[in-house]
Amino acid sequence: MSRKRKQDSPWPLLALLAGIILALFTLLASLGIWIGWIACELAYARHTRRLEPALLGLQADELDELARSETYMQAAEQRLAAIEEEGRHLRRRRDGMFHAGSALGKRLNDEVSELMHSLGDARAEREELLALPGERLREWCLPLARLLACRWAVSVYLMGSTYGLVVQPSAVHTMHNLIFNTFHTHLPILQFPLYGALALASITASLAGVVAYLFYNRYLYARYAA
Amino acid sequence: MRSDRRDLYGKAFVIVDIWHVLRTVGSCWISLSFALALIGIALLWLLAGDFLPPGWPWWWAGMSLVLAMPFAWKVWHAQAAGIHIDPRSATLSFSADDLETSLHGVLTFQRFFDHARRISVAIADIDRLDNDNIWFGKGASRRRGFALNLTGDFGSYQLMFSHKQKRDECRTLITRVMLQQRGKAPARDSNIAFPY
Repeated sequence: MSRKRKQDSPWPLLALLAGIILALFTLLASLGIWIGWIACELAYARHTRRLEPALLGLQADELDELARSETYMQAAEQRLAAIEEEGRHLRRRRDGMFHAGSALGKRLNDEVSELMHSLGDARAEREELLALPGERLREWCLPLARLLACRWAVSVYLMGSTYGLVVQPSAVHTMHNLIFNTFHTHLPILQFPLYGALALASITASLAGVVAYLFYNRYLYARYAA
Repeated sequence: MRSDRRDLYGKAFVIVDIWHVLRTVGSCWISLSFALALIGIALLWLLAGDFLPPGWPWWWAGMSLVLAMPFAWKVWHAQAAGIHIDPRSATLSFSADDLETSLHGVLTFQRFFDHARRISVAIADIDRLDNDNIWFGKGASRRRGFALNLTGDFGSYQLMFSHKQKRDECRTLITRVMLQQRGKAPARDSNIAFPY
């Protein structure tokens, strides 16, 4: 019994497994690409967002807030420069602050600490405000990148299946046989390698869609953020 | 240092962990080359396997190493600049080793591509600094990585180091600048990480 088991070839089992995986992938990828494309087209047609200049900049209230922060930062920096001048004759500590042995040094250090603290807050607020247009642009890029990626996937799907049927490379015949042999009881016999061509189209279109999405997501952002 | 060269803002600091940089650039280059080689070989075999000369997979594998070079160069630029602490603009800029925050991030390989991106955060926004030790690899190649987690208004970022020495240096300098900017900072002892 054990000798017989050793002589069994694993290839039929592997071919069956490969056939199932390939057929499942082809089915799911084909459905995903076509349904995804239609859904993206409909969603984008319904919620088209133009790239308004307001999207790339700050709103009026945000501009006011930014101006307030910058005015405050300017005043604080001017005061720090004045303190620097005022304490020019004082000894300095390693961290740049004044030696606190004198009353003036202590007073200036206190004022510097307070100014630094509020300056830090103002800078953090400014950074957050300046990051807002980038966040809005990213939200604008995502649906467009998705739509363009789906269009690429559909185009490559059509080209891939046509190529598979016209040129009929050996890989298409191999995949066609794998799928057909696995599901021969459910699938009609065909004179041309349609199942293989669809598998080829699914694989190439999925890859094209992913690459296009990664590309457009970064390209659109980099183009309009500049 | 002469006292007249000191100013109220303090010094700017750059921490470069060159071993971490080399390891990151190398692994990004090899990973991308491997992915390109694998995908390219599969695609070329499917589309034109009958027409290609013998030995073409080796040729394509070599090409993949070349094609991955521009990305490796970008990673080098982002990583080799190190961790920059600028007290004048009160910002900390770095290239983070971050976890993804969404499924979209996972599907678009955000963690991988972020190695080529620099991030800047306001020092005033940092609330916590936490040490973390992470083990990489298995068997003989098992090694420890030293991480410093920054948490604050921006969410969280993880800075990775090859040695504890570099993480301690970074933590001490960030703490010093935070102390000056805000008058308070997380524990200066780099072996503990209490909030303040």
